[in-house]
Amino acid sequence: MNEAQSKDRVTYDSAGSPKLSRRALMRGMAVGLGGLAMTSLASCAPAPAAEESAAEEEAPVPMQETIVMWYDLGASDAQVWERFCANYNEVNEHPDITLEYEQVGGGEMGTKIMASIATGDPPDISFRTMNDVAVWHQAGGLTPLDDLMETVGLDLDDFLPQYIEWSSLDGELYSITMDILPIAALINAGHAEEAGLDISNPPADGPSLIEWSKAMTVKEGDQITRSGFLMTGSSVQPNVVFGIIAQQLGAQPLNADRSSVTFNDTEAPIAAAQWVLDTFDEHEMSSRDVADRYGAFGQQVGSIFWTGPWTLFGYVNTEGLDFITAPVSLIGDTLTTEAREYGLALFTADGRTEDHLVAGAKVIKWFSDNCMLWVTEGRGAPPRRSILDDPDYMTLGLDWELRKPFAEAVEYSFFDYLNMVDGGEFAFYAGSSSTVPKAMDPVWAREKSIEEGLADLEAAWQKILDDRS
Amino acid sequence: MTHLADRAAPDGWLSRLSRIRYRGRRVDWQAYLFILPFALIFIVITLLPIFFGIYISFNEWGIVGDPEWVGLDNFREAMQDDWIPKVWGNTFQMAALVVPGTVLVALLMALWINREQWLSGPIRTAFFAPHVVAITVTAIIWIWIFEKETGLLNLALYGIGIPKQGWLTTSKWVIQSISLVTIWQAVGFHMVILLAGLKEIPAEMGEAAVIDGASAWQAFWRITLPLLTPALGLVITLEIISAFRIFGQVYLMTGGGPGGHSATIVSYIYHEGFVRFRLGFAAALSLLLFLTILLFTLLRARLVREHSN
Amino acid sequence: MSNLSLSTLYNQTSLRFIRTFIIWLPGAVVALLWLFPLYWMLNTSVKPDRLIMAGVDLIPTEITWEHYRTVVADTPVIRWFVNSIVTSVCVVAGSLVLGSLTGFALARMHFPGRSVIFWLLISSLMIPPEMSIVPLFIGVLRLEVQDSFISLIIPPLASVFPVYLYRQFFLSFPRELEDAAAIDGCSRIGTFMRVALPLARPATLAGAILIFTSNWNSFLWPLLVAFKTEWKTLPVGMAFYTRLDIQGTSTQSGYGEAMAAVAIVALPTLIFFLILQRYFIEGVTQVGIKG
Repeated sequence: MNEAQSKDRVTYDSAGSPKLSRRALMRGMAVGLGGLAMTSLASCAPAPAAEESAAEEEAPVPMQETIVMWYDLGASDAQVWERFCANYNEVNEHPDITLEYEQVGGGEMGTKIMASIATGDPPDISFRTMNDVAVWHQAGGLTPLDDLMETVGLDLDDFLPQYIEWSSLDGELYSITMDILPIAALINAGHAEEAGLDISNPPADGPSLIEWSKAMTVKEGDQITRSGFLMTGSSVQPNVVFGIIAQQLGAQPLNADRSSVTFNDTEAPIAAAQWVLDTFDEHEMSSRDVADRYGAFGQQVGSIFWTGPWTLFGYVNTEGLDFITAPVSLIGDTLTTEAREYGLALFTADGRTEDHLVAGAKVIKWFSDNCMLWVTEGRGAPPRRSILDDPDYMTLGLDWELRKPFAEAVEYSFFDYLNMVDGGEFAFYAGSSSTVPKAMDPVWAREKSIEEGLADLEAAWQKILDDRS
Repeated sequence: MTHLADRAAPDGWLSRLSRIRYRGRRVDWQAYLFILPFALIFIVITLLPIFFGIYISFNEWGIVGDPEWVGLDNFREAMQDDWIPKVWGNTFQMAALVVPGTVLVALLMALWINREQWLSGPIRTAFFAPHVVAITVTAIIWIWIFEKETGLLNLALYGIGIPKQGWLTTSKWVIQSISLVTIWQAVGFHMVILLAGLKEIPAEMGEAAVIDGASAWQAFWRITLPLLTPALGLVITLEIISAFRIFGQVYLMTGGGPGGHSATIVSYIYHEGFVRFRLGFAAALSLLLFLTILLFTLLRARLVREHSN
Repeated sequence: MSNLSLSTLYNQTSLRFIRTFIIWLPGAVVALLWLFPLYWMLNTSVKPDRLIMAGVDLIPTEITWEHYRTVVADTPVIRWFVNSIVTSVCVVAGSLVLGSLTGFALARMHFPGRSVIFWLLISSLMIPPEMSIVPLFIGVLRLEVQDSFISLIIPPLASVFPVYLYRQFFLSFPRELEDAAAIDGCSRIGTFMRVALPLARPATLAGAILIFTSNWNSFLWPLLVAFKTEWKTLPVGMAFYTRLDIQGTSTQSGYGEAMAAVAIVALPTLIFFLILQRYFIEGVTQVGIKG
């Protein structure tokens, strides 16, 4: 490089041409490259150094902690959650803690958290399901909460015991459940009225569900233009319906110690799969050609929709949509439905002090203690007795009549995933490339027999279990 | 050629350096300085990550912790994974529609615009316009057009008595639908390349052939097409590469559904790598994708060579 | 037969006219069809919801800006716009500097390794970027430059396209001019700065436009490196705003809002294209002919 430069100068000087432009270019390049190198060096330098010196200068003021929270809620939920977070900073119960909250986009939050654990800089708090919490725990990113919650004084006895159990991994608590989200039925009131159905008495069992759905279905020729029972041809909807019915009929995905797959031990999955297929082909009450189930219910081209409470806020605000909610119908022997829960987990990383973790725990406690807003306007049912018993719980926020079937379903719902690594692969509520849809979607499309699909599912699940051990 | 340095060179190591010859000509040492800034960025951003990716394909790695060497396990797993034939098959089907579709429409439109008729300019603009909008825009517009009940396409077909179809929701149509969207966006770009190729062909050649008694069709077949071969080759190569990498449309429009019928190679790589963190497996799939693209590009080059012989 | 009957009806000129018209018409129709989806986007974005759901309405009977207002109220659209503009402008500037220097060296300078470097660059185009994206993403996190212009701007600078574009252009650059410059006492850099670059204006313009558009529209990389809402680019932000349930935790915005959102993404590049289309076309042409 030097040789080239000096040779260049010889040429140049002997010709007596202006030197400025070339030198300027050289200098510019050098500065540019140097700058580039410096930026990357600067960003390699440990950030805490700067923080420390800042803290020294302001010695008299108590140490300020900034707690970063990530969540990945969608449009209408996110608005409520952001209000909740803004409340925290406004109430300012802990003057020494500032909460920074970030909506981390769509499907990529899991990716970003894993990557941030890998590089030693995760957020402080996340708001997600135990599925992901288990993965992050396995990756070594989380800190157990039992002792911390005792330190900050969160009353764990106020929680319904099953949520403490569900939020525990290897005997330690890793997530503070904020809300439980069971699947229940949304029924388009206008369609029911039109079909002469009694809206005060929604379908409670399989036969009446089919009767209602058929009555509300609209066809043009042999084409279903409005699904009485809203389905999609693949992905989440048929699989979650299948999972609920199979478990109502008594199917158990795994044995007690989760070492082997027991799903196909009974005839229940076959009957459940047949029920799903019949909605399309036998009863002709569901169209496979629905791309967006949420949109379909909102645009009133579907009448009964089995979905979660996260939809309520959006649909209540949808113009011209009049709907009621009801429990899922009892199609098998025992009433049960799929549920998931969302909770707050606390991350740790090299360089995070005990004080910092305690600050994070304080924030979690505040959110749990003040979750009334979230469980009345936001989405699911609270896990805490004090809130369930609070008279405000039924009067605040969205109409209790709409929330009630979801809140009550908490008592009889099963959790759709196993809080373990790869637990998400056991979920019925899952998108196209997950294990259940991978095995069963061809069945819904009539490309495979029910038996073949179930055999594939069992093999895929067993492989995941075997790989783990 | 003469260079000032040749004459002005004083004695010493500098001049010795400047006298070094490579293939009979003096070496332009400054060239390395010209290349350096880009080379640095290219090495850091492209080259090293590629080598790292190849290394990772022989490892098991979930981002956290260290990669663990597993030899050919990832490739062995890929051979047994029944999702692999599925996504490769889907991608082949899309490529089989998109590559000929794009090239044919682009060629026809280029020939048409090359006639320089009334409104040639605005029409060329119309064809190129979809190329300048983002994949987000393309995907969302077409989701709306393909919508089952109120989408434009079904309403139009319904108007002429064809029953409504689930364009993105049935395995029967989803590949065709995604391919159509891809063609829609790609044609303009390739049309312009072909148009440039056509402009290079002297008009007299075609006219001479026609005067010699050849029909317009024969003239096209015997003169235009052979002369257009380089441009066509470029267009086909670019299309093969991009068709095998279809992702954005699928990610935004169907998420791979229904039942994986529109899942492509890259959408599967994305799922395994960025959703399930099986980075080693995802890297192995990327390597297989590269080999697939390489194979088809070489095949294409070979076909063209044989054709021109 | 039909020719005969036609020629009895029309004279030679009108026959020719009809012939031309028969060839012209299908092209024009296809062109209209091609443009239609973009028109439909604008059409839907200004119609009130009830008209959107009512069916085809080729020319809106009632116009509303409601959807645009909703999108602007619901999203930090200005911030996203600024992110996209700053990123694209910096990438264009950087790429042109890097590309012209490298392209010039590869086309006009004689040194060992020239063809190896060129073929290395060209063959890297065949390698799926998916292969390098994971390591690159981890690199971004290690340097803690996610959510910054550094991570949005630097990786796209490694694009081989501007190098290729300039190399092709400089290859066609007459050698005499260069020799004349050398006789006038210009060094290589002097030749490059004072002769080659000014003459390469068409390539620069074409490159600027194509690079700008492709960066404005880029999706996967900004999706990964923007963690925080405020660092999203316009296409990524709007994709999330309009994208329906990936995680199943939200209800969708209506098609009116969706079309308004994507129109906001599309209009800058469409307007840019309409004004500068000559250069767009020249840019692609240069890639084509000289390739």
